[in-house]
Amino acid sequence: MIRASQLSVFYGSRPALREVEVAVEAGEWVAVIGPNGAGKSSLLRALAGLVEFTGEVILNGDALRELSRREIARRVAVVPQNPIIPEGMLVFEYVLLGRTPYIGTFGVEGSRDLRRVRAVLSDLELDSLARRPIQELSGGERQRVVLARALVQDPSVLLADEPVAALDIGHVQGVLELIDRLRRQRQLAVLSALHDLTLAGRYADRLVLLDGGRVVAAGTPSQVLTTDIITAHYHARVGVHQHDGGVVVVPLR
Amino acid sequence: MLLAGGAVLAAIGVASVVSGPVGISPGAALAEIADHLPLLEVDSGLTASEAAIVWELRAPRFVTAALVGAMLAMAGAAFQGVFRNPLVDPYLLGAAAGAGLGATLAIAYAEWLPSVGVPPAAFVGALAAVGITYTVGRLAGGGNRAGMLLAGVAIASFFTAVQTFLQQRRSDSVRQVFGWILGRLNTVGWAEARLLLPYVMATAVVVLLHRRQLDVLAVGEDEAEALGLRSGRTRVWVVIAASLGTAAAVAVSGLIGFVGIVVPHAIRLLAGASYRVILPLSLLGGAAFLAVCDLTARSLIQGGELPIGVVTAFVGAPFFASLLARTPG
Repeated sequence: MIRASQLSVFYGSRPALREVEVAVEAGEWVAVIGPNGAGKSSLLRALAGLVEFTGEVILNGDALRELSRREIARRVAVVPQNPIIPEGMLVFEYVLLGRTPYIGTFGVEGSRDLRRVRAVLSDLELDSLARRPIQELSGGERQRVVLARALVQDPSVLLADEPVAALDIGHVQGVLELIDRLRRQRQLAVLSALHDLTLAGRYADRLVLLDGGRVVAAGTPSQVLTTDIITAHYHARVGVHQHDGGVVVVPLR
Repeated sequence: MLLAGGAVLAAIGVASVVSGPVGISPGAALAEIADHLPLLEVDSGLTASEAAIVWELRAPRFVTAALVGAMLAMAGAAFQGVFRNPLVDPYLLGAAAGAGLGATLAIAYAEWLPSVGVPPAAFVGALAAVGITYTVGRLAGGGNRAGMLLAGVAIASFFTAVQTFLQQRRSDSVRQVFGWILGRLNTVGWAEARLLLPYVMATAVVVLLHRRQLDVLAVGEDEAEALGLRSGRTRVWVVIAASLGTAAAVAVSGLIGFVGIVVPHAIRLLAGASYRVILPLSLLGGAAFLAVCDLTARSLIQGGELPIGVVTAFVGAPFFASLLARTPG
């Protein structure tokens, strides 16, 4: 579905990402983990075509750099780490922005676009919030609205940069369960940066660990989340336990 | 809403034409104006000099005020959308001062240039000023809203200083340029309205075509790109159009401040945050606002006239201050 090979990103002469190999298939969830500054956001930005990169990204069989902005936006949706919430904009208007790649340059939305927005709003149980200004919503509601905007793009790939960063554990679970249901129902290829290792291991099928812009470990959660690997790359002292069929990472002191 | 706005504007138009030292009844004024429309033959019963006051002085003055106001308000809304900064307008960005300098250069140093050449010269000045303000503001504050504003103030002061210097050196053409700093509409006739009209049309068409794209830009350049918008292209076109509108307005009326702040924000409060609503209503609202300000400017003092910029600043500065207090960093 989306596959990057030899992917490198430079900011000036400073490399942010070096020869990264990563692939996500339809319906699969891959989590990118790594210490701060490891290149997680750069990877997501490169895969969305938002930064210059070297190497190759193949999206549904086409080279990403051959595709127009509009064509990329029809296939790849981005949930940003800190979405900008325009003052006074209503939830419905905000979600409608996701239809941008389907609306002509100087055109306005048609009935099909409105139908898509309504369908996604009701799927995410946001109907009742449609006429509310987004800045009035709670963090959890807001994150569902941002997700709704991504979904009306009808993407095949969802790139989510720390989608639950500022939420409490209940809302974290709510949003991640929602992403999980959506990727199964819609066969979305999901690539998300997650800093919480236990959560990453719980929800993702596979993990990719970045450090210094390179992939230093990749595989299933139990392959990547080992005491040795975490100690080496996070400089942390942790205990790794098996619990309820998943991996739990606990800081030691 | 558009219809209601149109009706209000028409009412202000009638008030503008009948108000003044020489009293003229609304019916007679309307008849006189109708007489000048194609295919109509109406006897207004006005004397020749009364008819001239209606048709040669007051009517073009109202039309020009409305066109200038429409342009400044729309340019303000457009700049606010492009720079995602609710605090900017043509005046505060330095666009108006740049246009003033461009126009002064054209008037004082290129006497061979016919008056139709003044707006293009103003346009070059406006674009240069916006470009410098944007660059300096970005260097200074990154995403900081106040940074751009301060840059605009600096650029505007500098351009105005250069303009004043040029004016003093060319005192023979001073009279023509004088009064610009505070704006003036007291000498306009149909020629100015005709000069303005094509610029108003071009600006309005280009900006309105981008109305939905400006809503997309509200989520920031990065997210807008991720949504498939080529945001750089949108910004360039809208900045060009808004600068052109500003330039034409300044070339005719001088530096009139705060219209581009007051009108779009009043509309935001009434009708919401979408540029699809704000832009067309700013055209109408700007026209109505400046026509009322002009009416005030020439009625407030018995037998005299205030510069219109004084009236807009009197209303606009407190408005801007309250906006400043409510806007986060």
